[in-house]
Amino acid sequence: MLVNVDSIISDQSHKVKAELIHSLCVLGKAVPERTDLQSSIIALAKQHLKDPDHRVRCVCLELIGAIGSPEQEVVDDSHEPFIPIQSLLAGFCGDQDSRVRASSFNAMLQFHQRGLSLRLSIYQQACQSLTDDYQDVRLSAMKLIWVLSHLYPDSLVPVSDSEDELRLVDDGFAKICNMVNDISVQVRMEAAVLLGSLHQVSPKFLEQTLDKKLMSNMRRKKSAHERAREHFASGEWATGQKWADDAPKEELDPDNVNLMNIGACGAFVHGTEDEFLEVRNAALDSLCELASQSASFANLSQDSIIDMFNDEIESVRLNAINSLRKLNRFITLREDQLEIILGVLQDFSTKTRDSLRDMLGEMKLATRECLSKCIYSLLDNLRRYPQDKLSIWKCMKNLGSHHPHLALPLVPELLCLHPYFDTPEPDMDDAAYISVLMMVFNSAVECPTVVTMFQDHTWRHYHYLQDSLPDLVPKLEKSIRVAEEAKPEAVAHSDVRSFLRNLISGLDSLPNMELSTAQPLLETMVRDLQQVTELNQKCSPSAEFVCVYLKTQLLLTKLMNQQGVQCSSSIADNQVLSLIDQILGLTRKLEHQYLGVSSVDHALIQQTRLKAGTLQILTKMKSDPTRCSQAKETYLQQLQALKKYLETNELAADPCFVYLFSVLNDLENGKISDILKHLQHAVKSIAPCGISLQNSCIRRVTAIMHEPTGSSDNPIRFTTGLTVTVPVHATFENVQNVDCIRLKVHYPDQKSYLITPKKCHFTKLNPLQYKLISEVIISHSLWSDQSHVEISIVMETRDGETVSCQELCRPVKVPVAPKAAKR
Amino acid sequence: MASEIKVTPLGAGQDVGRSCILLTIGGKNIMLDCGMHMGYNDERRFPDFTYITDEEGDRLTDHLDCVIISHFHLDHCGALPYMSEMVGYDGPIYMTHPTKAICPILLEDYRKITVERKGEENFFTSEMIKNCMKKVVVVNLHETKQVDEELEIKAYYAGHVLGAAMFHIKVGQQSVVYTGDYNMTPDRHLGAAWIDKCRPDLLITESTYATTIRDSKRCRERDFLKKVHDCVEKGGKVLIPVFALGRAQELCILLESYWDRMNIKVPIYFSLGLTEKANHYYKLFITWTSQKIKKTFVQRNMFEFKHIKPFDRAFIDNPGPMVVFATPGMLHAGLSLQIFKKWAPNELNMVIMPGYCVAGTVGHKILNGARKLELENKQILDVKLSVQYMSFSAHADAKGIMQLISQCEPRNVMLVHGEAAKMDFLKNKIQQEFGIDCYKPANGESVTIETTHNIHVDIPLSLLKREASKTGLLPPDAKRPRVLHGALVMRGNRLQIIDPSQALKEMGVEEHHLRFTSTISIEEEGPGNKVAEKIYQLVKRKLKDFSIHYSSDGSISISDSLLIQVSGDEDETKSVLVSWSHQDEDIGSFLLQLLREDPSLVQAV
Repeated sequence: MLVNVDSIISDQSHKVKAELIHSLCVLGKAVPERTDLQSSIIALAKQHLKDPDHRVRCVCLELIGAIGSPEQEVVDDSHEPFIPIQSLLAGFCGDQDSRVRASSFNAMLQFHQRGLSLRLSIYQQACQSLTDDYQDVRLSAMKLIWVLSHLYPDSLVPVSDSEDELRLVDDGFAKICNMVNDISVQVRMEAAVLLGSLHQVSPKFLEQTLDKKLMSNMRRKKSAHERAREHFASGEWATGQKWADDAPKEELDPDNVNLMNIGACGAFVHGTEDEFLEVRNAALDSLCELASQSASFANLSQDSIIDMFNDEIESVRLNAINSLRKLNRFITLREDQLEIILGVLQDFSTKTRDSLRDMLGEMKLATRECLSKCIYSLLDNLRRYPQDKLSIWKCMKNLGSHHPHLALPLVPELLCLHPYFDTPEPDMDDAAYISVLMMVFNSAVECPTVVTMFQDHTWRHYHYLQDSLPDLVPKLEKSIRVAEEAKPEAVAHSDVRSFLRNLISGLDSLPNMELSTAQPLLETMVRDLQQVTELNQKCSPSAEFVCVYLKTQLLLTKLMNQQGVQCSSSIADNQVLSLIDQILGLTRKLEHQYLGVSSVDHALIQQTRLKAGTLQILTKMKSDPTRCSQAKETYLQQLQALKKYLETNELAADPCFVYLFSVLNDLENGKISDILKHLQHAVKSIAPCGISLQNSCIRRVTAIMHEPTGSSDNPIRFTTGLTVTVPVHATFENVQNVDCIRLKVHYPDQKSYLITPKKCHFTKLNPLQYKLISEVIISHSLWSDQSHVEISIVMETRDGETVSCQELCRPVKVPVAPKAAKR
Repeated sequence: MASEIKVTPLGAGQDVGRSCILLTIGGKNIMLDCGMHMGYNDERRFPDFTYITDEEGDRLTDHLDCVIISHFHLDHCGALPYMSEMVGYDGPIYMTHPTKAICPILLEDYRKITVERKGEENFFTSEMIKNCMKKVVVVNLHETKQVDEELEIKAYYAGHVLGAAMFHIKVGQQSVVYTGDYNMTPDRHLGAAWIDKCRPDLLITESTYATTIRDSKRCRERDFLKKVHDCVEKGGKVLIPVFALGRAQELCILLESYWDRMNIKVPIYFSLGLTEKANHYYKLFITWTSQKIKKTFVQRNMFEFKHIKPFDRAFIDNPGPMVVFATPGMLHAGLSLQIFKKWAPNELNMVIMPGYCVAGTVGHKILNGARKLELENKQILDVKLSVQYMSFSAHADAKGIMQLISQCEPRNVMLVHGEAAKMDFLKNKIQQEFGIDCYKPANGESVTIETTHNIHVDIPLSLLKREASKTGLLPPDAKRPRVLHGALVMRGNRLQIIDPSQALKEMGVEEHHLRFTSTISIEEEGPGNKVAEKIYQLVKRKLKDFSIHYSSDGSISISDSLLIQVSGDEDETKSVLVSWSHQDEDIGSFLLQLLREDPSLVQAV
């Protein structure tokens, strides 16, 4: 085949040739094991390297990079009979066409990507190509230098104009640093990106990157490095901050030439000041990456990073905030730096403020003044943006727990304590007061002295907050004692869990019980569980789950009781059907709103639903056997689905379904009377069923609406027929897919509308946690008086064809008053 | 062949202000900038145009091919109406769009201050400004403008102020880059200067900050904001003398966003008049600004200020803190000086000088620490307010200048627009760093730069490709010379290399072949073809890069045109015939020598 290809390749058109060689390249990649074929392909490509057309040469080099290896030798007709491929490629780094030059570097980069090692000999050539006229060549050469710096960090390279030698990684680092000043934006950006991963560079080179003034003299030796520092100190260069400090000083020692444009000098200063945000962002990333490797550099770089907090582009500011956060283990924030940082708290962007608070909570602060500044800025933030409440509390919590000893002297001031007088009890609804308490309570964990300063009302507030915001308020040792006195029967988590266990085990005999005994038992259990749900938050989803499940069983029992009565009036039918609808609603809730339900429990829920379904279809068929074909179809589908589910999970079916599965064929094709007969037989064996609750940590899908709050009495006024937007802020927990979240607007005329929020309005906080900042647009015709529009968050679920909605939180009433349009 | 470029600064030679540089390149005379000097109020404020004209009444039009204005600052364009209307110049004046829009506003303002306030006569009139502007030809960025058949100019982005440009001037093969004023670090509203690797013969660069390497711009901004904030918090008034355009807009954006963020209510004023018009143009020329402003202007144009209000003279005596931007920037005249006189005696107040001050101005004096100033009417003014300097002027610092030099790779550098002593310093640096010549002529001093002149020869692509394919040797090696056969033809004043056969045909001359033939006799036993075989091996060993063909009749042909033939079958002496055409003279004589000198070589094989 190759022979054929060879003859086609002699085609006149260069384009055809290039395409053919490209195909060969794909072919060669496809058969990595056929080394003979590969080497003949390479030999072929080598012949065509002589082609006058750049496309052909480029594609040949690409091919060699893709399937050759640097040490492989190929026949060469000029000098020695064989030359290694890397030397061959090195030759093409001096090609007349820039694209070919770039390709030859790229081929070598490809070797590296394929895990083949490159020879060091190419380094000098790559360095020369950094001054190439074409950006592609510079870009590839720079990447190659980066690769070599990783491969041979410690080999020595000679420094031009001197006899000293440098570590290759340092030399390469300095060269890439220099490219941060390149003409082309792409090269600058790539240079800034590459710098970040050269972790092995010596600290002295690293330090230069943040100072424009230190001259690159230190390329030579250490003494020179110090000499340069002295020059800097003696003010050889003016800073532009003071007038007339730039008078030239005495003539320099000619040996002490400042190689201005070489060296790492100021690379990050330039990078972070670049005109283009792409470069600035990349430089920031690299700076952060390098700083996270070394504590001393982190300390040096913190000023530069903090400077970026004032960048004009939001994404850069955000990046700076997150970068600083990553360095939290190395650095301590000083007061002057904090001033800049806290300024950002007034930023209009919610995202920026949020990440800043997260960052602040993880930082080390240097002094008490820093902490007090932070607290007051956060309170100011709360005043400006009340919707940030939760995030501010969290930040306060972190501040308190990280700086207990800095907080101690601040506590009297914060709690408004007076040495002689009792101060008035602060308002518990004041978010600012709660914020302060968060800080104080969390600092008290480490620093018991704080606890002694608490006043009676502080303790009261503490207990209240501990109950209402357990995530944010820690357990204080003294408090437990006090709490025990106050509430001797505090239910611990384990108690609830064992209670649940006991309760569930009591259900084992449920299927065999008489219906009349089962009903009161279930009734008491449901009542108990409802109370447990209210008692303990942590276990409440599981208890709630069991509770809802038992409710369905209770309803089922009631149904069976009525079935026993066997009166078939249409009133009774309607009653039955409404009960069935309730069961169906509850099972839907069980299915979609709870996460972590085991397959056994899931099967139970499904069976419960289908039991209700069986009763439903039976009741319908009995009253009007002719109009049920559609319902029958869906019912049968559900039955089959259940069968499949049970089979795949290897679970046993309920007696009623065991029977139904056995007569499935009859049900599908039989006459209506037969079907009725089968169903009636099956229904007889329906009985309530206990639950196993294998996973005791079931979580519930919840949504908390932060805005609108519903507390406003001022109606939103808008002109009839026009629209008004209501901002909606909400947080979601345990949501797997935000696509099914809808905002429901319910108007007083009983019409409701579902609004799908835009995907970009959701921010992911954690794997199952989301935040929504969106808005609903409402509009209506004229009303005589103001009224409420209810806004709620619902989850849209689909079972087969039917789409249903489940409310995730209580609807919030927003007063609205449309007014007549003025003419 | 050498030719020369001659440069004579009429202004800005070892000085800042009155930029005006005469350039003679390839027989063309070009004036780069035409500015006024802030430090003088007599005839020295304008460049001495009599240097160009031979006699009284002579017009400049005959002596100049074009005038190029780099940007709208008065020290770069202030003398333009004087030159074009009063001295007389009718040729084209090149500038960018924003410069053309803003320049007349500034000139008019300058005229007003000089004529109406100082009562000078014999100054240019509004009409003259108008007429002068009619002679302007606009240039877009990166657009090559053909001034005449030989002279072309191209503008590059220079940062500094809106519409500032660097110009690449090219005549034939000689080229010069004139930077005007430029800035290598981007600021709040403008991008950084950018030039491609055009390798000019001469780079004429400004050197205002020849000895300065500035801190990061963010430190400066922060310092500035902090100083202003502290002062107004204490109830002081802040005066910021600025030139109406350029720095002023950057500082406005800076203060505006800071006021926004910090929710400060202290009023900011901007001296009325100029600014409104100027801001209008800033809003228009969004394409000349930085990435941020370009990106956000759809939502909000950054030049529509919320906090900044126009200033009224009556506000000077208002109580309470305020921030005032007032023109001009060096406190040498006008409103800024007036406000300064009022506010100077109060130590709560502050004046921030955001840029360079020319020697002789009040700004320069107070920056150098003068606490008592003598005013025109012999009054003594106590300067009690705090004086701050903050280098916001958007000139490249030493590192920026070096960066520009390394970007465009000139063969020579000339420093202008700076102080002599500082230039010396930078000159040394440039010479050490790049190993190129650096000049710093004073005003009126001519510098002549020799340039090597390459001869331009056209060659048809087909010929080039044929040669390339013939010697497509691998791997490519820059050190190996290649031979190309062709005929040099002169057509008109253009040189061409064409295929020899085509040249002959065009001349109507019949082609003659010239062949050298030589016969050597070798003492050698054995059959002829054996000897031939030996010679073949030898040649093959010696001439690796050639295609050598050994045919069965005992003749060896090399590169199709060389021939070696052995005759004398069974004789003891064989005669070897070597024949080559004159194109292959090199290789032919090499072969002959090889065979003649050392016939034993053949035997040794």
